[in-house]
Amino acid sequence: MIEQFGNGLLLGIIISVASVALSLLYGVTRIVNFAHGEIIALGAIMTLFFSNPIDSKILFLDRFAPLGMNFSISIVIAILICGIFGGLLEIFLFRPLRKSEVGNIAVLVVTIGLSIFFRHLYLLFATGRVQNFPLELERRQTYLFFDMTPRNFQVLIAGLFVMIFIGLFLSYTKIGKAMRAVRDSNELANVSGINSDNIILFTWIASSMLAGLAGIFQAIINDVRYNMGFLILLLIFAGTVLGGIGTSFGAMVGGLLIGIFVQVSVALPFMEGHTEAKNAVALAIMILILLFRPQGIFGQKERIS
Amino acid sequence: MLKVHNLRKRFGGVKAVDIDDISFEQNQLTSIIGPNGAGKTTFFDLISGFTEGDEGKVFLNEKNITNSQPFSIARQGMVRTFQLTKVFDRMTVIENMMFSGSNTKNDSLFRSLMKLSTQKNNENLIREKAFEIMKDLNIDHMANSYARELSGGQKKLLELGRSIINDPKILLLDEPLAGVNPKLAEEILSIIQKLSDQGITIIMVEHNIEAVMKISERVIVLAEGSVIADGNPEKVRKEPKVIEAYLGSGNE
Repeated sequence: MIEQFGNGLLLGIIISVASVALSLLYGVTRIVNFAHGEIIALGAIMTLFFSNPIDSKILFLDRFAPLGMNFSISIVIAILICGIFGGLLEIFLFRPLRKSEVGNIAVLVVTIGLSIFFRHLYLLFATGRVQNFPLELERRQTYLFFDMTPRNFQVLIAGLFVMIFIGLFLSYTKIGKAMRAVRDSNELANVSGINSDNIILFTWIASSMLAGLAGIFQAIINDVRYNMGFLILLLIFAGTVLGGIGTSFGAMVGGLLIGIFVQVSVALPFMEGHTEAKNAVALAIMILILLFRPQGIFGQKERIS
Repeated sequence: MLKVHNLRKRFGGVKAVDIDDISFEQNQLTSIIGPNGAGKTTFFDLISGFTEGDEGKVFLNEKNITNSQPFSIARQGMVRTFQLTKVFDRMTVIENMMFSGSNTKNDSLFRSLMKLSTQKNNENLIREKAFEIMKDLNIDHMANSYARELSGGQKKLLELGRSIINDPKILLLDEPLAGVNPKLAEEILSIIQKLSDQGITIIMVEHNIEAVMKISERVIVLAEGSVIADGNPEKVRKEPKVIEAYLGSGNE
């Protein structure tokens, strides 16, 4: 049970980072981004492309050898690429859609289309093979109660730092406050002198960078697959809803809880031999919680007047 | 101060706004009235940058602001409110006030990240000013409540406070008295009067004719997007076209 709890924390921190990213974007732009999973996968695939040894047999697009760069530098470059990717999506796709007042449902379908398009582009680029980052195997060690590899422990700590950073950023910086303002009312933010287009662009970039980071975490702990983001997307949505839609703090906690539910349910007695059903148990718990608290754990009931 | 020339806007086949020339003088309190669908709010949307006109030009202090972005018009000192009151729901009342108070001037990311001492000072000044305004509006006791917890009337007051914290030159008020009880309406009216006395140019869209006639120096009547009367309240009240289109004969 305790072992699974440690695994749950690891999965939770990945979902948590990805949920905050999704929730920020939804809050500021009202876009439910189904292509979020593909940005997650982009982070991992780019890291793989930059860091895998040149002489490894894996070729990208069946032709290009990976670049064999330093792993940490590869991570930084991959995250930057994700940010640029998100920024370009906003500038060339979502901003024009917004200006021509395309409805939310239509935009949602556009993101589903993007998701399918990019997922299959990755299939071409990085093939359907399950791949691993060029990292040495490590022995598990005990941290407090949990057994995990030092590298996974680093991921856990890094994830927690990212959360704290996001929280401070939103609460105290001017641009964070501006994001909260645009989330509450785009028009009112404009009347207060905020260029909401810039804030939305910034949100796309930040959300995409966080998604890319979540993908890299996921790939460090597990592996790289072309559809890795899509596979985890449902859990990310669950984390966002459980925490309370549109609240960043809620998304953090919701994501963490979903990860823990998923992994701990593996240790339940009736789950023996049925571990592939672990998501079902987690989502059932989510539904139960929502029955008692429909607005999510940290969601606020709105005063409707 | 504010000039509008040949401003036109159509929604499909409907002529929403069709105005040849209007200019608003500094320091005047002008009301725009007219039946529903007369184009009053669309007119506000056009001059505050929220809607692009089909043709025409808007000048603010001789500067062409036609099709400028709303945030840039707000930074130039023309601030508006909305028919459906808008507040930042998930911020407290004081945060609402201070947010609007701090963004029209410097907003470089660098400066916001480095909490420079001058900025701290600046923040304290804004806070003091916010409290002064809230006291005048009688919402200072709600300073730390979330804006979504306010009643409709209090939201109206907060919106008014938020819109004046930056010392706007022109204030566009879209139905400041809508849905407000008579006592509060009186209060809001006297605040508007006071703001006007302080030298703010005010343009107000309002349906409450008594109130409009009482405090306005100038009344413009719109019908189907066009100006059908323009002048001081007494003159407008007697205009036959206005009586027919809007005021009614008076024995309803």
